[in-house]
Amino acid sequence: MSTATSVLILGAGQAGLALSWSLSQRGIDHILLERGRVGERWHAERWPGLHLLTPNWMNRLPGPWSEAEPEGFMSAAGFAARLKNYREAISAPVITGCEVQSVERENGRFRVVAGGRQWFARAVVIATGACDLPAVPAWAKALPKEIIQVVPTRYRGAEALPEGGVLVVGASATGVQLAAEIQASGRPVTLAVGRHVRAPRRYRGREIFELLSQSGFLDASRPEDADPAHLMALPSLQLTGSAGGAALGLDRLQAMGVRLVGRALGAEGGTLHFEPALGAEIDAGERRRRKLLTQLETHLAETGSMLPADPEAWRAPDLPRVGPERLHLPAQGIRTVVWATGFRRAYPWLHLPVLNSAGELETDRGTTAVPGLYALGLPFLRHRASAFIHGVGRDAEDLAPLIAAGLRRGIQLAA
Amino acid sequence: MTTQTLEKPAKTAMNGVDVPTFLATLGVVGETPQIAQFTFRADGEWLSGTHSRTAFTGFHGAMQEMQHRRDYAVECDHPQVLCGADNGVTPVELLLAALASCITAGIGNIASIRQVKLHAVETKVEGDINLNGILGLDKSARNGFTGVRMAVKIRGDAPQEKLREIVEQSVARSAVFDVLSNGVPVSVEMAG
Repeated sequence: MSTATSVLILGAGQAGLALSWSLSQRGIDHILLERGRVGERWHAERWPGLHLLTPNWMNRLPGPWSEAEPEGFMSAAGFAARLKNYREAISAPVITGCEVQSVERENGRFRVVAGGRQWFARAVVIATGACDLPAVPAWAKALPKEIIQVVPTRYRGAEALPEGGVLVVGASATGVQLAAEIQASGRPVTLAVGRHVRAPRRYRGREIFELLSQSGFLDASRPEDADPAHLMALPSLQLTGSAGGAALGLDRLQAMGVRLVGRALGAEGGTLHFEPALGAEIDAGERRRRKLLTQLETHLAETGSMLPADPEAWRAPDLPRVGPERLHLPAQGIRTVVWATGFRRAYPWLHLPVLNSAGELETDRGTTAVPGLYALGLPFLRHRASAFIHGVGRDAEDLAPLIAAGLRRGIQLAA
Repeated sequence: MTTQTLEKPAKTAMNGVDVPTFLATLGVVGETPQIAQFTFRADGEWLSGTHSRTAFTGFHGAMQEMQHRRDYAVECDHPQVLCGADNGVTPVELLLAALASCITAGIGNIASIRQVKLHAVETKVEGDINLNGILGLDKSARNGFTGVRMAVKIRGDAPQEKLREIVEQSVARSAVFDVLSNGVPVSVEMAG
């Protein structure tokens, strides 16, 4: 009914497990509280057939981890199985099926109520992840009931959708992948294109992440003056890991027959409003792609690379400049809206003054304003790579010594 | 008809706890927080081998020097299997007793304040220790307990859920549980 340990880790996904390894290496006792199974979201909140965007060498965690195909792209289900094996290999002390009800600071330590028990700890690490709840715009409620609304965490393949047209809102990695597979199922797709980053899967013959890693792009530190909300909402690159990492972009979707429209702005009955100036969004995506390629090109030039030139990667695709201002969904035969609009996070159980006005955790590279309370596994937490699995492992290795030092200080402060 | 019928019944003494006096004491301490500053003391003396005696002569509390109702002392020793004379319990067993009695005391107080009549409270405490640590045979082994487990059996005139909450609250307010799990600065110096 009551358990005390030095560190409580909330969540047993890649972040919590990596930290478990890093704390074990330092002899720090800890317990992981997990609401579902190890890697629950990889089991329950990913669509069938999803493959990780990143090649396997970027999906490693510290300690015992081996893979046969470093250049391959693992399925989400495959990664869930890897996490389970990792947990066993590192003997992580995970309590599964243990949902956190409250976290508070009381009498110089943390008191956590979870799974109908109370837990005491000198440090708590929030490793509940970035992909908590789908970020669906509030105006989605105004859509008529006949329109089926689906979020990616509940999407179970195109065949599970009603027949008829589908509007996919959002054109980051999730949006473009779902648009492609839904279109391929014979359901005509309209894709509402908001902020996005176009990126080639390969450049000058090399996989894009290999070059991004070598050029130092992934190592970029969290910018001091950046808006935290902006860093949390950075769109993922328009890439897929399916079909061995096939090329996927707006031009390819258009060739498949997907209709491209501008950013979705609001709804009025069955009518959706869109930003008609689609060209501005396309241009912005194009600028981001050129910036990315320029960084790679600079790195390759500096290192005297002999890789063959790749003019095709620089070619601006022929995409529509103007889209409709509004579409009456039923009149267009659109019966389903898929919200590929990213994720938000909610911490209703966290009774500590570490949330900003948007309800997001305020953290300085993993530490918070409350001594002993840490965060791990959020985009750009410490580096650009923090958004990727191997980057989370690296952050765990960086955070563990800070947690250890905090525990030592904690005892002195208690005097 | 009158306000009296709306008032909750006054809490009465129960389980051997004088609840009205206890609540009045809480009120007084709330008004004068320095009353709550206590310092406990223990005076130890070596007898022979691993055998020692520790006396509890008095303590500071409620802004004055206080005495126990009578003199108390405990004797500790090591068991014969560890070349002691087994003239008393081991010091680490005393630590287990401290945890058991602290949480039991809390249960007594909290149940009484919540006006739950108790019939029985039984505790079992276990602590694991690798003696290679204190014997100096394994530098990687810690000296002290590597884990402490306590089981509480409680029976009283309340549903199981309410009894469980009483135990949890006692743990949450336990001085010994806190110091065992949370740590405390400890110093040992040569006295004159």
